[in-house]
Amino acid sequence: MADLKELASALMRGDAPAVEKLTKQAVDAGIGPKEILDGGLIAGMQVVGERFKNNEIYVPEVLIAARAMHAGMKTLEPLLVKAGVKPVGTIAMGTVRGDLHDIGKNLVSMMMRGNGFKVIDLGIDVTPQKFVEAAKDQGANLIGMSALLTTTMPSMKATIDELQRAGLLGKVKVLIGGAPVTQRYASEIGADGYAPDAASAVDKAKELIGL
Amino acid sequence: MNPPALTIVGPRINSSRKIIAQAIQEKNEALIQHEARIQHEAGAAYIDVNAGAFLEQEVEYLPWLVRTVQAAVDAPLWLDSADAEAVEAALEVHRGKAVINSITFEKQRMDAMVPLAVKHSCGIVGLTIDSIRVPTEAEKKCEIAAHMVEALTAAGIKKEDIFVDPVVMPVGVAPEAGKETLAAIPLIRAAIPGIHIVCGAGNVSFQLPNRALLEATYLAMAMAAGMDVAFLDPCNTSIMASIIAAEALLGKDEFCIRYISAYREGKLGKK
Repeated sequence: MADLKELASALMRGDAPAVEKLTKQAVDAGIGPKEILDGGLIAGMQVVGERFKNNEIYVPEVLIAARAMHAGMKTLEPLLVKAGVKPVGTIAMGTVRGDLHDIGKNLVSMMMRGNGFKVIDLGIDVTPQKFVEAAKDQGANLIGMSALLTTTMPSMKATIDELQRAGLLGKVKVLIGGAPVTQRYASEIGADGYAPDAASAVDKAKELIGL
Repeated sequence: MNPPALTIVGPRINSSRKIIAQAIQEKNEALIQHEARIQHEAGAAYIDVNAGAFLEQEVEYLPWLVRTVQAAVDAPLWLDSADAEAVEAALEVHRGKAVINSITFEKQRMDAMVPLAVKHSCGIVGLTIDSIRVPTEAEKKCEIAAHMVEALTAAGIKKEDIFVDPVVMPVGVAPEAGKETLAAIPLIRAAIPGIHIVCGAGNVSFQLPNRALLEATYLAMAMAAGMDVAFLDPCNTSIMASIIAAEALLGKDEFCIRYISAYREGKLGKK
């Protein structure tokens, strides 16, 4: 198990070459891919998320940790698929229609991936229809919407209305966030959850799908 | 003493600050006027006013801000709003030459704001953003700026009334952001003579520690690159000290007199 601890700590340092090497070593040592993922990569990423939430580390430090995770996933991903390991959930992430801000959305996507979610990144300026299609056709059980402008917040409501028309409301959980967004606004428009930062978004997403 | 080479726009009266939002709601003239005065006295040539946090009441609050601020200081304002109706109401009561802050190179936003700028012959800020994306690359920023200025001058706006903002993204997230925006400034200068180039530094330091240090350094670099208008808090003494030093270093402070005076006045830190 010592190997996985070392793997987690390399990830927390953002040391991508070490993460890549240690992941391969763990595979060669016969440790299962799911165990390496949970005990090494996700374990490390959870500490990173926690530290970020507590303002102990800065965004660039989260970014290099995510890059390191990616280095390990290159080896692990095909093995996980082969072993039939399912992601903990699938979330379609996007910045809403009319809004071109992608930093917050990318951070949340990174945190979600770091915690075992499959992320469908819909990008920026995402129409309500595109969110609905992601839920319908790509099997997302969560939708994550970001808005950084008071003027684009209404697009969140438009998406929720569109989900309702498609009969998906309740089946697909909706999580929203962004600087001007509040819990009150989330309740008002009927979103299932609100998160004030990227690390809390993961906790909230897990809570919404009963993990 | 020669006038400062850099034109400063004071950003403090912004409704995204809780204290300002509250003052607007309570129509607290004294607080708003205090914020205007301290910025003006610290060297802001323009005062930015923003009531964007109030979607419904912006059309009422923005002109109120204009009247309130101009009752206290004799300075033109930057009308910081995406809402054409609010901007129009503010322009109706504004004294002197206002600046509309801002538009992007998107048809809808141009169509709404440009006629107002023409009608009131005021200035206008254009961000190097089009309907597709917020480009990072210097060349793309310059390309958008050139197209936008062409459209604005064709509509009847004078070049000297156009302020191009080559938008900088946070370096903590996009490591190339600072470098590319700094590279865009001389490109835009060369491609479009006669316009102003304005930069804000609030964004560049987002999510990093000691933001004032990054902002001051970035602004000094932007000045060297050719920025002539800055969106910065003149009440922030460390940022201002760096601006004054940069002016001396760039030969924009004859005999460094302004630098020396600032030192004597204690504006450059401890003697």
